[in-house]
Amino acid sequence: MAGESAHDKGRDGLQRAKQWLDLTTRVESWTHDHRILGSLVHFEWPFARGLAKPFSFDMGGEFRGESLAEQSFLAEVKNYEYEMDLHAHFLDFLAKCYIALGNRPELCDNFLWISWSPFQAQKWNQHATTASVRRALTLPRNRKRALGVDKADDVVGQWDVERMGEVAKRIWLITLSDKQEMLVPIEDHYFKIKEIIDRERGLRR
Amino acid sequence: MRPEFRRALEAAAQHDRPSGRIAVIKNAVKDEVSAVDPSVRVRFTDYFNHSVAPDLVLEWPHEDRKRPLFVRSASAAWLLNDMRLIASHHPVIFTLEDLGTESAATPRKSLQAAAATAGTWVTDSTGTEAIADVRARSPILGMLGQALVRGGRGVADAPEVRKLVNATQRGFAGAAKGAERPARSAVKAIEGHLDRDQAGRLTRLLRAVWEGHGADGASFPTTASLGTLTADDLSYLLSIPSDGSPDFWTKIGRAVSTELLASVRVDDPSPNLQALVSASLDRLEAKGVRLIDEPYELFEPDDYPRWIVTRNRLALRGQNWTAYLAARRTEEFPPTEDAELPDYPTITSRATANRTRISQVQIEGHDTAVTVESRQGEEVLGRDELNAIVERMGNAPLREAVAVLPDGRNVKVDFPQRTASGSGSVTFLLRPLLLFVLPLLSDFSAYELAGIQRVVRGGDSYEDLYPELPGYGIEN
Repeated sequence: MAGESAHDKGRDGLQRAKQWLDLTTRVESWTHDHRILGSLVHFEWPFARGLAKPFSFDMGGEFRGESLAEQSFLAEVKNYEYEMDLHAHFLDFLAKCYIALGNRPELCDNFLWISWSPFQAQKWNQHATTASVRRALTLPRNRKRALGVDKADDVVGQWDVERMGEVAKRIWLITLSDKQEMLVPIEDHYFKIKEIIDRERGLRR
Repeated sequence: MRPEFRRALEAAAQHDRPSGRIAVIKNAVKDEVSAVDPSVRVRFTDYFNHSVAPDLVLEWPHEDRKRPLFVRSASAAWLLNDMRLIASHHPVIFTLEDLGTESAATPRKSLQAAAATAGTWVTDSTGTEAIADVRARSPILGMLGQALVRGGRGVADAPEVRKLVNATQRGFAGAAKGAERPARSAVKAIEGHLDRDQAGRLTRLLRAVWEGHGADGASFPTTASLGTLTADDLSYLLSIPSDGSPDFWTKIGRAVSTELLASVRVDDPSPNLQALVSASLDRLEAKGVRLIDEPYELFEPDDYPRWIVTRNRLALRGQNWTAYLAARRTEEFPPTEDAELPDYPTITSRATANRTRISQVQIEGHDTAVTVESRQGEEVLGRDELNAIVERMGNAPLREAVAVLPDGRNVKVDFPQRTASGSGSVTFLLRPLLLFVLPLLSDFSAYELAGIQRVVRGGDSYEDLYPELPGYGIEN
C-alpha cells in the first residue's frame, strides 16, 4: 500500500519530510519504494486477505548520535494542509505500529507521525497514549485485520496490552510547516557540520 | 544490468539488517564505477540515501579533487527535485533502477536537461555496463569511461552510452582519414556528455589524430576547448589499462614529442608508454643521452630495458643503469659524477660490436690531449696512425669521441660524463642515437645489448631501417 507515491502531493510531502529529517544530520532514511531497503517498511495485516493484506509505512530509517544512536524508526508522512481526515489516518497508523512492533521489533524503536497540520488539537496530549492505541485497534476495520475479531467486545483478550503501551511510548508527533522547512542549516554550513562529523567518524575506505 | 550487479542486489535483499543491505549496495556500486574507471579510488561515507550527503566519494591518484556519488532508488521526478540540493557539487547520481523504463516520460526529459546543465551525471547499471563492456577495446574508449566518471553530465543509460561510444569510435576512425562529418558528430556527442575539462581531453586527442593524418587543423570541427595535446591528456591516455593497436599509437605519436613525454605522469611499468615510444621511434628526437649507474631497486619491475619517465625525463631503464634523454638542451640531463675513462681497445671493441662509425677521438695524456679526426667523417678506429699515437702515449684513455649516425649527423661522446649529444641546435632521432651511440657509453653485456636492440629496433632489421647503409650495425 504504497499510497504516497500514487500522486505528486504525497511524493512531494515524502521528499520534503525526508530532506528535513536528513538535514538534522541525525537520520539515515529510506522510503517505501526503495528497491532494496523499501521492504523493511512493508508488513502484513495478519487477518486480512489478498490485496488488503500488505501495508507499508512511508519511510524507515535509523537515528544517529548520542542517546538516539542506531535506534530504528518507521514513519508515516501526511502532506495535508489542514486536518481533513488526519485523525482517522493517525488511528490506522497506530494499528500499523502495533502490528509492526509485533513482527519486527528491531525496526520499531520509534514511530514518527509527520504531517503539516495538527488534528484534534484539544486532545493533542492524548494522541500518543495507550488509550489511543486501544481505540485504534477497536475500530472495525482495524480489529478485523489486526486482531481477527468482528465484535468490539471481543478485542479484549486478543490484544497485547504491554505492546500497546510500547507503541504509545514510541510515537513522535511531528508537525512541520512550509516555512519551518527553510529553517535548516544553509548548504555551506551543512557541509561544514558534515565535515566535522566525518572527521570524528573517519571516512572508511 | 551487469549480472554481477544484479546478483549483488539480490544478495543485499537477503540481509535482515539495514546496515547489511547498505554495505552490499555500496560495494556493488563501487564495483560498477570501478568497472568503468579502474583508476578511481572509492571511499564510503557514513551516509546512505541521504538528501545532501553522498554515499560514496570518488577520488583519483595525483588529482586534488573529489566527485560525490549519490546512490538513489527513485523516480526521475524525485531525482529532479533532489538535484536542487546536490547539483552544485557536480555529482554522479547512480540509480538502482534502470533509468530506461521511463525514458519517454516528461520528468526524464526534464532530468536530462537539468543534469546536463548542472554538470551532474545520472546513470544506472545499464549505463555503466555499456561502457565497461567496451572500455578495454581501445585506449580511447578507456579514456571515455574515465572521463564519464570524472566529468560526465546528463542522463546516461545504456542507449545513451552506446550512442556516445559509437559516435566517439566513428569520430576517431574518421579523424584518422581526415573525414570531417564523423569528427564533428564525435565532438558534439563528447561535449554533450562531458564537462569542459573531460571533453577537452578527448577533443584534443581527436584533433591530434586529425592533424596526425595531415588534415588541415583549421578545418577541424569547432570545439569548446582549444589547444594541442597536453602532458596531462597524455598522462590520462597512458594510464588506460587497455591495448591500443600499434597503428593507434603511431597516430598519437605524431602529436607527441620527447619533451611532452618527459612531462607526463605515468606508472612504471607502463605498457602504453612502451607502445607509444616504440611506435614513435622514427619521429621522436632528443638532444642526447646520458648513462647513469643506478642500481636495481627492490620491488622494481624486472622487465629490462623498458621506457620510463623519471625525474621529468624520458629514459630507458636497464638493470642497474638508466639512459636519460634530454629533449632539447644538455642542461636537462640529471647531474652525474665523472666516470673512469675507457681505453682505446675498449672503445674500439664497443664500436666494432655495434658497427658504430667513429670519426674522431680525443686521447687523454698526462698533460696533453691529442685529437685524431678523419677529414671526411670516415672511420678512424684501427687506423695505423691512430694506433701508433695511442701506443706512443702509453695506451692513454679516451676522453671524447665523435660518432657518425647513418644519416651523417655527428654525435659528440663525452666519456667521463658518459653523455652523447649534438652541438648547437642539433637533435637526433631516438632510434639511431640509442642503437649506435648508447652502446659506446658502457660495457653492456651481449644480453643487455640484445635487449636494447629489441626495444629500440623493434621487429625491424637493420637493412629495413637503414637501407642506404648496408652493413651499418649488427644483427642478432
